Amino acid sequence: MLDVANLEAGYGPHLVLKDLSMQVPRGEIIALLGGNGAGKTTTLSAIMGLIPTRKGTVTFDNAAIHSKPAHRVFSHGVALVPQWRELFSEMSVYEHLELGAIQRGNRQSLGKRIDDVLDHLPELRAHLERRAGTLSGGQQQMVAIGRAIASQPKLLMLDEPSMGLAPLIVNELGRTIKRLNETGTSVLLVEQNMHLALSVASYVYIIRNGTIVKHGPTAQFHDERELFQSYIG
Amino acid sequence: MLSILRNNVLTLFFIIVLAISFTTDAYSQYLINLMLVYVVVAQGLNLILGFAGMFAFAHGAFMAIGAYVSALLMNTLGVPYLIALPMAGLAAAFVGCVIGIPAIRVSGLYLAMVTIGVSEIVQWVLRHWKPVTGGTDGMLVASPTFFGVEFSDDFQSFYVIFVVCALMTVLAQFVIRSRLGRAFVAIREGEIAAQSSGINVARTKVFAFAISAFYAGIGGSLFSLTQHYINPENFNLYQTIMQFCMVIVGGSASLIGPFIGAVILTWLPELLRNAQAFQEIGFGLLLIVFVIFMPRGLAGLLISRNILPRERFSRAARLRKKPEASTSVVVERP
Repeated sequence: MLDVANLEAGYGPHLVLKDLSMQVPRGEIIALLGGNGAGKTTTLSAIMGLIPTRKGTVTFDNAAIHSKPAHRVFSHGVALVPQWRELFSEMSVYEHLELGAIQRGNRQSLGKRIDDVLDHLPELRAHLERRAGTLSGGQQQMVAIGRAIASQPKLLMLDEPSMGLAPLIVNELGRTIKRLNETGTSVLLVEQNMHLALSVASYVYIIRNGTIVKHGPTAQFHDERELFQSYIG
Repeated sequence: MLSILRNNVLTLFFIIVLAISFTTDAYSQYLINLMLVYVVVAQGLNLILGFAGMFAFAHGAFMAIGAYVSALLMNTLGVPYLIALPMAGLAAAFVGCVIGIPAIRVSGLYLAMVTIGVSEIVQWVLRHWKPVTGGTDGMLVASPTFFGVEFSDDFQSFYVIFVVCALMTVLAQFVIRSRLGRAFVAIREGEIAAQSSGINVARTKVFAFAISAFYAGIGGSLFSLTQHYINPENFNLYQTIMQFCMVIVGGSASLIGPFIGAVILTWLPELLRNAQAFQEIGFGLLLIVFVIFMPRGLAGLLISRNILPRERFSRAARLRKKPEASTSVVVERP
């Protein structure tokens, strides 16, 4: 479904991703793990079209998306939940969901798509009219995911969704990701939280200094200490 | 009853203005007309500055384009005002697009500088293109005629200005509650999240320029009706700063804000008429106080106190709350 081949990208003169290759097969949850500054967020930004790529290709459903701006990548069916949620504090929860839903698809099916999101994230029902800025961290994360899945993406990319959340909410987040995946949405999960990643992903990539240094089925990474060693080299 | 009033403040505003206009004298009628013109212009500036978060300072120039285009169409070609008015808005919107396309490459202070530069260029053109604009001498503006009746005095002009102001308010509300309005707010609050949500940021910014310039163009044309005579001095940097004050004092990112700002800043100079020197200092002080202590203006204060309703960015009137047993655990963070 998503095929990243020999990707190079960075900021200004600083090259962050070097010859990075990875795949996300349809219907799978893939985890991309790495330490601070390894290039995880840059990888998602490059796939999403938020930063230009310098070399290599990104293909999604057999269409090259590496030279397209973010809104075009989004229209192919790729949605990103950015790090720290990046909600629009003035907008209500409902307005966030509507913003996500209306960008893909027609106005007629808007209500149904928002209902579908609320079926996935029922805890948002009670807060539809609240401004996003007034919600707790866990609720904000659900709104960010809701905004992304309202567009009914084929691939959902999550950038460290567990960041700043209490362990109980992280467990709930894991269940939500699994539920979404069961409805056919492929997931690329970027995380530092190894426990969350290993509990939901079927395949793991380890990134260090902008390059994939190790990858394989999750079962290969059962030893979290060994996995941590791969992070830091 | 209070709840009905709270949710229909703008309707109430228009009813009060209409009622006052039946009993007022000629000079107060002129000020009411001017206030409604400023409501239109400030609404346009509020769309780009308040909702989209772009520091554009070319509104005096867009207003001038609207005023001169409608005056020229009526004076030289005899075009009816019903056609000249939208043409004024469209001409300003076109220039807004032309400026917007390169201007979106910069933001913040740099965008402010670029748009101030544009204002100065338009001023220069108005002063030096004498055969068309009349230069610093300015030009007289023909009174509009509707169905054979000439609307030459302020009492007659009021009806035109009132109807246009009401229509522009409905349009502003429509824009804010549309997909475009949400896109404005999204790019103001975070471009990465906006792009990740499928919003074409560059196109949205150009739309913001075009729509707000359209408002300024319409406002400029209405302004020429109130003055019967226009010259470049009407549209200088002072004009832009006054509009900026209206948005900041009234309350940015709120539909009601420009109304509050326009009322205060149209009538305040009248109260200070005997202290001309204090007017500009007064505007400056007002701006400083509001930017530091009340950045969302008076409307923001009233919204935070729940006296006015929060701005909605959706046309969905009532939200469906389907009671359903939650399958998830929600734990409030301590």
